[in-house]
Amino acid sequence: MTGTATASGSATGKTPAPTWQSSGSGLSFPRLLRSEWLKLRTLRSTWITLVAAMVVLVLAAGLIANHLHGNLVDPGRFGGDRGDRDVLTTPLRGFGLTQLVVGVLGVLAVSGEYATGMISATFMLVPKRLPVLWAKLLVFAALAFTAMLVASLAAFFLAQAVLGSYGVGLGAHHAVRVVFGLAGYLALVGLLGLGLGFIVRSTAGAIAALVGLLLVAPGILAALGTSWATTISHYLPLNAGQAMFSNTPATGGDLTPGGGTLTMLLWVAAGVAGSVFVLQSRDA
Amino acid sequence: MIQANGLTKRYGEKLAVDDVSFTVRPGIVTGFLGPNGAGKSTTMRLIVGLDRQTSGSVTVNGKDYRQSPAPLREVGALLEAKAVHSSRSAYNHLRVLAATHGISSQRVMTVLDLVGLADVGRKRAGAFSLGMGQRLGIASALLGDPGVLILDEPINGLDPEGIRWVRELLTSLAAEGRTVFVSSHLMSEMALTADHVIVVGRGRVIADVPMQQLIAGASSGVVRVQTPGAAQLAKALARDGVTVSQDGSEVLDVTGLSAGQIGQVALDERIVLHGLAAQEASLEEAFMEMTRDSLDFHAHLQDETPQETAV
Repeated sequence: MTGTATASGSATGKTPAPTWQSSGSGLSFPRLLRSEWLKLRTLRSTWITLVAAMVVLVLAAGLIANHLHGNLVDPGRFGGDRGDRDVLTTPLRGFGLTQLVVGVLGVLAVSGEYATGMISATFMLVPKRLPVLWAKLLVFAALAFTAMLVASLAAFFLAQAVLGSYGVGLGAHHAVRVVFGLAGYLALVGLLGLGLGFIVRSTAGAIAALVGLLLVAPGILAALGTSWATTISHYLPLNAGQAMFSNTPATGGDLTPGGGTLTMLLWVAAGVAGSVFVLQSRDA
Repeated sequence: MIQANGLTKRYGEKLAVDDVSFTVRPGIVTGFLGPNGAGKSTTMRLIVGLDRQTSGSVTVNGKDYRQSPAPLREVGALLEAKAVHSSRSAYNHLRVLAATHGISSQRVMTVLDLVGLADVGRKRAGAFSLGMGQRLGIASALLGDPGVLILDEPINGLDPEGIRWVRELLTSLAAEGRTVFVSSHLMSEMALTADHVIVVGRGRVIADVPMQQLIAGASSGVVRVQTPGAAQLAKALARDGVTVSQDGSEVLDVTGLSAGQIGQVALDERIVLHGLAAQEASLEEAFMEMTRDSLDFHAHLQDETPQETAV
């Protein structure tokens, strides 16, 4: 063997070498952040997923805006169907698919480690475990919010360009809040996926839970139609999120943008609390 | 130095590790031997805090591993062959681990080179063979240049050249004053590598002895004789302190006499011998004997049949 640190020179002698003293730099939170960033960065799937999420949002904005433009030019074209003609938010409807893609990326950031066994290497290096959760949340939030902000700005500008004379600028009333609210909501869905990844551990299970919460639960509550079901449904992630980037005043129990943001943060906090619990109680 | 004291891990009804106490000292290679399912891997996971013990305690260098300010420099461990994200390259995998402790990319290249993976460092770890995966695991264990190494079945999947490499690596690491704790279910492999051995079965420590002592204890003292005059020779050998058992019509197993003494008796009696050999102490048999009672199911013996390991 060649080249490990110090040669004690007594390998063949009778006297045992003095006990090895390990030295060098230790674990720190900034270093952990760097490691988690490397983890995300060095997986091709991160970039494929992220770009897919962005492309969906921007492409959908262009297509919807084109359709909306036709509608506005010739209101009689669709037999009097007024549809949603809000030029600010209607083109951003592609978020329905984008939220799933970002949520899955959040799930994979954790479940990918459990599926491959990487998680035991991670927790061996960080035996207190919780710093891993904090580092993942921070790094993922920064990456997802940045990407989603770029995507929602691009979607906004593309849609307004397609809308031509019907389009508005970023200076329009609510425009900045809608763009930032959408990016914030999408990033928070990613963080929700991340928490579900820690709680459920399996990719399929966590994605099922995410889809159930985002898409199935609102449908079930709507089908029930009772007043309490309607009340609860306002607080589901999908409706809370839509409140974050809504351009119309909150009516009939709808959450305000601030209320929607707070509700989404509480959903993410619940996922984080669940993650803290399983990380402290379960074996890796 | 690793010290376990009354270490116990229970999974539901099953006691995976049952009141285990031992000390693994620096400067030597300590083997951790036992059949599959004896609790070796669980014990190793308990040492590095991946699983939490039901009771008892275990320390690394006198402290709880979880409290270490630099875990990667304290303990280097190979626990599962592929504790690696399969989509990441070997180089990036090690960089991810190194980053947590501010270890340079230079050191990553050094350990990749050391384990012989420098040429495939950019390949996806998922495409690695079992042996390459083991080498990558050993690279990650060496990354922090730690004083304690814990390796779970490191030779699994390695070719003969790789096995010899691991053996020499372990010996040299121990010679540098490090604590080297290595598990195996192959007694013959341990006999070549370990200075001290801790044998476990069914979650309990069965033996905790220097390797030399275990080998000495394993000597069977049986001499096997092959002769057409088996019955006649058996009669001639019969005396106090000598046991003769007939194994097949022409084979005798004799204890209490040396091969030389038996040959002399045969010559005196003018009995033709076709074979006369002292039975080599079979470490595998000694090990099987030692752990037989502790096996969960006898069927396990099938899995434990020693594979020939080339030397």
